[in-house]
Amino acid sequence: MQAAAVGRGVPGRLCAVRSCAQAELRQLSDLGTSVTMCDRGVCVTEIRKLLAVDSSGSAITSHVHHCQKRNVDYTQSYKTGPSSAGGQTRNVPKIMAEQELPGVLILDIGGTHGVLENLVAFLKKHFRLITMKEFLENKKEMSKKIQSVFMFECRPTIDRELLESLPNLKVIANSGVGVDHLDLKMISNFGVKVTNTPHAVADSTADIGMALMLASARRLVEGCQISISRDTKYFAVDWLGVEVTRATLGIIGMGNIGYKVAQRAKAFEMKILYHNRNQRKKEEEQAVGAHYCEKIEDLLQQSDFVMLVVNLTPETCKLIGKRELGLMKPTATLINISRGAVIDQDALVEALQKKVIMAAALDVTYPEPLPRDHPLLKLDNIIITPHIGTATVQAIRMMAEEAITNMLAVLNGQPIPSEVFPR
Amino acid sequence: MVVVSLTPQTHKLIGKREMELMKPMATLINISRGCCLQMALKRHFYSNLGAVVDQEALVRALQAGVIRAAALDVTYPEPLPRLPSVFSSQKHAHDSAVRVPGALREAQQARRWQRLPPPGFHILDMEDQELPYVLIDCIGGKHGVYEDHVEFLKKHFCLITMKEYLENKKFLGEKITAIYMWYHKPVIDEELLQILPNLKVVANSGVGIDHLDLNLLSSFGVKVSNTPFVASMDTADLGMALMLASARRLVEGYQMAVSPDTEYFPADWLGVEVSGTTLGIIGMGTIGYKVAQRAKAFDMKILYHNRNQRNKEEESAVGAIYCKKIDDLLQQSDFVMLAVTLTPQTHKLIGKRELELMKPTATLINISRGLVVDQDALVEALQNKVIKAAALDVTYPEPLPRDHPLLKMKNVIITPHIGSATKETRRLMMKNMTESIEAALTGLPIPNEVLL
Repeated sequence: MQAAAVGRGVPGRLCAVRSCAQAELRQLSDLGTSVTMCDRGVCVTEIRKLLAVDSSGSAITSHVHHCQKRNVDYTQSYKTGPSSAGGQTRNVPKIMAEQELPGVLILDIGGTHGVLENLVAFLKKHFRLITMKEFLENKKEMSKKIQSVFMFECRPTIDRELLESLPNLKVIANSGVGVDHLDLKMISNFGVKVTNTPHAVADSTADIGMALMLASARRLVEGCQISISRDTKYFAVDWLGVEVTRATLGIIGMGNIGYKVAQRAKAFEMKILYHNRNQRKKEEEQAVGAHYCEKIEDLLQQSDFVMLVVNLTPETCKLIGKRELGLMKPTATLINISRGAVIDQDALVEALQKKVIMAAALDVTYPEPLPRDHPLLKLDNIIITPHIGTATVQAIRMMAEEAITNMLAVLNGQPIPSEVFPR
Repeated sequence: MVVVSLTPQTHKLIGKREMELMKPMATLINISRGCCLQMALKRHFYSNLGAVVDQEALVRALQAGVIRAAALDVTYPEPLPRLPSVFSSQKHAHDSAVRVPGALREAQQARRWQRLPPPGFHILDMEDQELPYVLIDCIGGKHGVYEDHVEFLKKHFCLITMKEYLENKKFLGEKITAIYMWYHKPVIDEELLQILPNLKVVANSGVGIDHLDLNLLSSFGVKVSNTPFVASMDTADLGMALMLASARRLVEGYQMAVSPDTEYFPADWLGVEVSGTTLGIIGMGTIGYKVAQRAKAFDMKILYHNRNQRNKEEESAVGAIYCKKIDDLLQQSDFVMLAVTLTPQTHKLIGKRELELMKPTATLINISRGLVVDQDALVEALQNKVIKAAALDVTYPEPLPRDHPLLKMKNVIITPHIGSATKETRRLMMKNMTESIEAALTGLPIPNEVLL
């Protein structure tokens, strides 16, 4: 099946609006038409036209649209369409011939911190994989081949020395949305682009936020321990948690992920307050019933659950400290799915010990994992999970796909879906 | 009969002298003021705080038999403290004082003193006499009625614990008109029903009534009420919590995060997505529908199986697709949630056959009753990886024996039947039960009556 000819200078590819009907896109990809994402392009009716033509077997008429280069500040919130819903894979561009494959540097394959084996197969379709070990053993030859770095779980570490030894490096593709572990200015000075994967992570991170809130409120972990404990003879009738339904949720950071949290919380009839650098549009607020709190104090004082969903930046470092914890209700729960450093961890320990707030649920800490003698591990009113915000089979795969799409876009001189710029 | 307004002149109008002037067979009736709070605040009558009748003198007069009896709609304070000198058991000598709760100033109360019992009537707190006698198991402890609910309950009922009842079966047996059943206690059997001839209603906490023999109760003419809707949101919340915790391996993750042996978090430690997957709800009643409302926000595809199909608006509001055959639901769902009531038809609804129809990557979640699942078949299915995982708020029995295989499996989350275990909901349940009992005893239609 011939691919539709579309877009400026992009033969053989069909660009589609991110918010396009996924069903149509899948149909197209089933027919063998490759699809990449950009921010403008074919509307749903156009795709349906194309499909109608496709199924009759005749050549697809081309659809010309204006595809502008997209400069996106990573600090902006992205619109995510159904494309980031779990389980839906996006088709990646055509496989290129073996010798043309650009080299991509990864830390390792498998093992404790390496790229997962099933992702490796994915990468190998488009790149020549070079592990750190191979690179270090044969720097002279390998250094010229490496055009991109695929970052997985914040590894390999990018420092000046590495950047200096990779003259042909064009892009560092991060899996995950947070890039606080990268020195963006330094990387930019070397003329290297940085990309992240905002779409792949949004749903699963919002889900973990909800999971932590529910587990904390209903004392799920404690309950499990009681259920299986050898000493349990009966279930006490006066063992109670607190309600999530109709409680007040305060979301700090109403970006992509924060908004998805709000969508989920609305179904639980929660009252939703949010604090953000900028207020969202009225329609967006009304869709989830969210009330803007320009002052973070207003949100902290009224919320039963406070959820942190911000990026880690110099402004958000230690955003929640002793003062903020003191402003929260004594019956409130703090949930963190952003980065450990957003909370002043010592202040949190003190607040939990003195019952200034009721409980906390953290997917992220600083460092990860915490030292084994850290006071947070000994408290009984805290749930900690090992940074599993995107730890699902589907999300990992989608992150890899999104990263690959980004890398190929850079290497082919095409518009980059999710580039990140230093402030 | 004292019918004055309270003024500085009428303060302690009836004192020792006046009582000694009364006939020894006389009765003193006070419908004016026992006290005057405003005066008290102004500290004008600090010592006796503004009473028309000198209360201490009255007590002494009654004790000594100076006057025969007193009937007071008003006292100071209201209510009186439970002083043994005035109120006690039948054993006390002066069984001639009768007090009517002055706090309630409705006409009904004002009339009540006209219906004074004959002389020689025992002193009992009139409040107790008016309020219905309700049997409970006990207060506090691991199984009893919550202590912070008792205050509210005592405004409506005279609570009789099982212990008190057993000490005084004969007298209390006839008085008890209702049973407040808090978490399956007290246990109701034929023996108990026979010695409670005036029992009219059993109010059950929670929605499940499978532990009650409805036919037996009906044969004794006893009505039953439950609390069907108040717990539905919390139970739906717990269903979602279990689904998320199971999919994302929350409990395992927590154990890893806090374990003393953890050195790093491995990169290949993964759960599965909830968003965008398929949820099959078996039992689309109040709770099932609330689960569907919540799951919709997670972009889940929702299938449901129910005795009857819901109407089109309800279905489209949550995007739910009806599966007339349970098999269709089982074969397509990534998560199967049981939200049925336990009936003979739903007993062992999920057995070996149903488990085998489920996807090998599927998770079973049970927030209904343990007996809805064939537990042995479930153990086998989990061991043989016929299904991937289970999350159970309910088992049979509860708790499971400590050597039960389900307790040892890594892919099983069990919670101790906490579907409605929130402070807010339990309080609402208590209030609902109170309403149901009061309605039954006054012959009104009973909210949340359970019909055969």
